[in-house]
Amino acid sequence: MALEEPARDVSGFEAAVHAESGRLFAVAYSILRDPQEAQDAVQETMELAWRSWATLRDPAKRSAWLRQICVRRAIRTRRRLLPRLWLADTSEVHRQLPEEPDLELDRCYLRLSRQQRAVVTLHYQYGYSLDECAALIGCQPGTVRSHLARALASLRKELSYE
Amino acid sequence: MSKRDEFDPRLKAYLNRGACMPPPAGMKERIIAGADRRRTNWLMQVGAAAAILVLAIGLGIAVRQARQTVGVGPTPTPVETPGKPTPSPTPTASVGPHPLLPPDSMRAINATTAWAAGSGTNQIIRTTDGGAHWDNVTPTSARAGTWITYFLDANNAWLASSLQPGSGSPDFSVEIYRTADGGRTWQHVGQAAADQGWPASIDFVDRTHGWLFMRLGGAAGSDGAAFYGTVDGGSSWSKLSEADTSGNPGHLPLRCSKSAPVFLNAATGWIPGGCNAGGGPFFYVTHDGGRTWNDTAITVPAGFSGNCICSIVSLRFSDARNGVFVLTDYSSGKLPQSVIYATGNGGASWQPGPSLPAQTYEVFFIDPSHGWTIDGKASNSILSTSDGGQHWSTVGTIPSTQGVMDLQFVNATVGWALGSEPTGNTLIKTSDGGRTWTTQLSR
Repeated sequence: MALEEPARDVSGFEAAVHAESGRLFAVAYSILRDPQEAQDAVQETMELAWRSWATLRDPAKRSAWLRQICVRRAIRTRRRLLPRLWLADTSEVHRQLPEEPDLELDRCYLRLSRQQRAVVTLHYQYGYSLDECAALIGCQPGTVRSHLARALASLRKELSYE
Repeated sequence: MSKRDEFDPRLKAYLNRGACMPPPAGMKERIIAGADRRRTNWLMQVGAAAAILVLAIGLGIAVRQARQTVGVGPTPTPVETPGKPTPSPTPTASVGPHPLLPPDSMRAINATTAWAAGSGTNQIIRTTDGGAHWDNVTPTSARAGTWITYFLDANNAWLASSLQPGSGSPDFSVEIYRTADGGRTWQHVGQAAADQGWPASIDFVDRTHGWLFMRLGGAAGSDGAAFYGTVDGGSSWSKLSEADTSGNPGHLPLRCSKSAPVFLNAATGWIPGGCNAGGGPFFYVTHDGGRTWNDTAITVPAGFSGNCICSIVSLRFSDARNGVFVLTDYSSGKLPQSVIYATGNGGASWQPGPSLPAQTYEVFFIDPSHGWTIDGKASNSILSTSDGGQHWSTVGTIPSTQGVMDLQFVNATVGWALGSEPTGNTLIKTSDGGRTWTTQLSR
């Protein structure tokens, strides 16, 4: 009986990968602005999901769980000294880069901390309230408000909106 | 359009481009391939896990016996249900789903009784012995989804369940469940027929009058919200108001970020929040149970700009007349500055008072004099005041590596905190006013 368990999980896991990984990559890329690091965050999220798959019984809750894990991974993961051998090679990743016409804003955005980027993108792009951002990121609501205010002030100043 | 007005759409467009970034070709296949690789070793992993489990069980038994021998309370304590009916699903003690919406929540009722809930786990727990044991009081038949809870007292609680956000379902209804016996039994009492959004909070001031605060999505500088109300304990719900751009008197504006509302009684409540782009604090009040809302003209403290980047948090009443909130100004270009506002007349007027220490943002007051705050930058050190915030002194440190999500005290000595660890949230308790803390529940 135990031997049959992984086969059923594999099917569900692969379906979840196909359903969720694109959305997770979009969230991770919005925070990290680096396709390789975003892919790593998704990879680590799905690794954790695979390890915890037996406890993720309700498919309706998986996407929420995965998004929270992915956001936290994107914020906290360190840049790898050595890339995963079985992940995409760098040339393939960079071929996927879309045009970024607002290079000035991109430079300013990348100067923000990952926490600040996460709050800005989760709040403005994905519509999460600041309290919800705090839950996603795993910090105090007051800290999220501080991150957002500092991020916006920094962007406005560097882009000469102040 | 002024240059300042151009910033938000520019940022929005930039973020939108990032969110539309397609994943690299073959990413899904590589993730699955990685799982395949691990599967080849799964038998070995199962064996190792079994060995660890055996060791853990043995260690657990030994520790339990040791505790019983010396009479020490369980710390940390797994969810237990000694001698009481246990609704399924049985809580898992190992790594499990983590909550997304709303944040894990807790409500300390008194020194012995407290509730806690997590949406992602769809689990509700309750203690009646000060946290030594926690009963799983999760309703077994409530619809899965985003769960929002409100715990009025030791016995009465409500649960709102929605398939939104994120399910892709066209069903926006919110199912309401209620318990009047401390969670032993739950009844499906009604449904709020929402047509958009998702529940952000459910709030009751007594056993009959309650509100459902729905979020309708946000964008740069705006935050959609709608109110539904009940006057019969949750059996029937009607839509009371919705944020719009009309600017008409009594209408809740779409602009500005809105936090969960706080109601003082069946008629009067407030929505705190903050406005982007230097729009000042957001503080709207209703005096007709949520049908109409009007701006409460808050006088900002001396030194604050009237169009500051400000927000209001920690709004709470300790009794029918006394309440506080914290106004934080982020616009100085330095560290954020926070000021405590207090009312002694049930919110008819609010007066700015002392500043909070640097790096502290939220407070919890049990009366006009006694309160606590947390310095998030100093390893979550907790500060207390006994003179309404005029003076603060550090009393201890809350053991939480990723910050403190919530802090509640029921009297001068007993309080609970909701901690955050990489593996999930934790419940932590103090019985000496914050000097020492004990982790009661952790994943």
